[in-house]
Amino acid sequence: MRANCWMGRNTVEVRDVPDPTILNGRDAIIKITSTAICGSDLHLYNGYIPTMEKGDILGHEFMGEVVELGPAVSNLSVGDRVVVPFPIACGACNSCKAELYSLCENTNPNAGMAEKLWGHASGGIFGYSHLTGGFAGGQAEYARVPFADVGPIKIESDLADEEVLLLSDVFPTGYMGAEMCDIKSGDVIAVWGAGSVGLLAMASANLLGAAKVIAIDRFEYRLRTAREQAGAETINYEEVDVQTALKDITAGRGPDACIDAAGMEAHSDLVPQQLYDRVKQAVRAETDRGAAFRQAILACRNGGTISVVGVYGGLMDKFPVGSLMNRSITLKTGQCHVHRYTRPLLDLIERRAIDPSFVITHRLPLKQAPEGYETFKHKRDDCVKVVLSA
Amino acid sequence: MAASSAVTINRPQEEIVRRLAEAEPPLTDEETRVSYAPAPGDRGTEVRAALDRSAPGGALGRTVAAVTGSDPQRELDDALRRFKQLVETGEVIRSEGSPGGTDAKQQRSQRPAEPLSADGH
Repeated sequence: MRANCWMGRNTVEVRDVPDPTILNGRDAIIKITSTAICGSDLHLYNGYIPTMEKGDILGHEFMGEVVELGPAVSNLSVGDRVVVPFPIACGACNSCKAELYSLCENTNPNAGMAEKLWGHASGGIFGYSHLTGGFAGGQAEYARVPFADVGPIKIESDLADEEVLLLSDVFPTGYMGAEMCDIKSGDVIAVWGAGSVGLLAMASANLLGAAKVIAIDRFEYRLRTAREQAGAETINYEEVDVQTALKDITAGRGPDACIDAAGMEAHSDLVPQQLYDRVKQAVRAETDRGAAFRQAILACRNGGTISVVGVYGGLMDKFPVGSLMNRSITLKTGQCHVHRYTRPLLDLIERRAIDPSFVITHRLPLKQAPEGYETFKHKRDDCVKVVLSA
Repeated sequence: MAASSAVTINRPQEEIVRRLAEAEPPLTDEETRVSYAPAPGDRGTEVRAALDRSAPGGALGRTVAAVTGSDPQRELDDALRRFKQLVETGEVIRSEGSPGGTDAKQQRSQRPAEPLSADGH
C-alpha cells in the first residue's frame, strides 16, 4: 500500500510499504477513505519529537471502511464505515473504566519509555512516535486498528466524510477543552490558538453556554474564521497587548476560563536535561506558541480555570506558579479521552447542532501529503486543516 | 539487588491467581514470590512480585544489563505488564514498532512503525 512516512526532519514521503495484517485478535483492518493532518503532526515534521524512526507512518485522524476483522471483534462487520479515535484504549483497565481513555494502561507497549519521562505512561496513539507505542498511523491506504471493538464509531447515516472525520481528534479535543472550563451562566471564555482545536473549542464553548468567546492568535485569516464561524471577539497578539485587551473586554475581571489550544509540543528525550534543552530550542524556534500557557495563567480571573488541550511534551521554563497559586486558579489538562465524546458529538452533528467541517480548508489526495505538510507548516493559502483522501 | 514490581489489575484475585500459569518468566519462576491484596475503591487487585536473583557482576553488571535489557528488574516489570494485558484484555498488545509487545530490550531497538512484511520483518 501507499503510506505517508516520516523520513527525518522536514521530510515526509509517500512510500510503498507492506499492507497491514491482523496482529491481535481484537484488531480490525480499515481501508482509509479520509485522513487529516493534525497541528501536532507538524511537531513530528519539525523534528521536535524524539523516539521517531525513519519510515514511521504518520497520522492519527482517520476514517474508512472495515475490510478485515480479528476473531475477537464481534460488534463490527466487514463493510462498516467507521471513524477511529486517535488514542488506542482497551476498555477494560481502571483508566478506561473511569472514561480516561487516553490513559489506557494496556495499549502502550513502550510504556517504560514514557515512565522515564513522565513518571507514569499514557496509552497508545496512532502514528505518534514510539513513546506512545510505535503504532503505524492512518495517513495511508490501510491501517490496523487495535481494540476495534472499543474505539471505532460506526457511521450509519449518510453524512459526508468531512462532517464526521474530525470526531477522530480535533472536535472532541476542542469540546473537552470547553467542557473542562465548567462553563456557568455569564462566563467569558478566552481561547489561545485559532487552529482547528481552538476554533472547535470556541464553537463548543458556545454550545455549552458561554456568554462570550474570545480568540487570541496572530493570523488574521484564522481570527476571521473565529469571528464568522464561532462568533468570537478576536485579539491579534501581534497588534495589541493581550492582557490589556482582555481586561478591557471583561471590565478588569479577566476571562472566567482560559483554554490553551496552542501548546508547546516540544516532546522530549529520555534524559531530563536533554529534554530541558530541547524545550528551550523549541521555545526559540516557536516563541509564540511557548508563550500561550503563561499568558493564559496571568490573564485568567481570580478563582478561574485554565484548560490545557494544546500538547506539551516535557518541562516548562519560567512557569508562573505564583500567579497560579495565589489567585486560586484551577488547572485542568489532558490528551482527549475521545471515546467519551464520539457518540454524543456524532449526535450533535446528526442533529445539525454543529458542523465541525468548517475548519477544513484544504483537500488533497494522499499522494500529495508532503505538499499538505508544507502548506500547513508555513500557513500558506490560509491553511487551517488539511484532509487527505485515498 | 532484588527485583520487585507491582501492578493493579482490574479483576478479582481468584481469576488472577487462576491465570498466573499463563504468565511468562520470571513471573512464573519458582523463586518469584507473588502476593495479592484487594485494591481500594473497587479497582480490582494489587499484584506484587519479588525475586532475589539479581544481575551478575555488581555495578558494572547492572550497567551492562541495563543496556542489553537483561536486567531482572526490567524482565519482571515486562512480565507483570504483559500479564496485566493478558488478564484485562485477553492478549499482549503488539504495535508495529514493538511487534513482540512490551519488552524493555525492544524499546531500545524499535523497528519503524510500518506494517510487518509477510515474512514477519
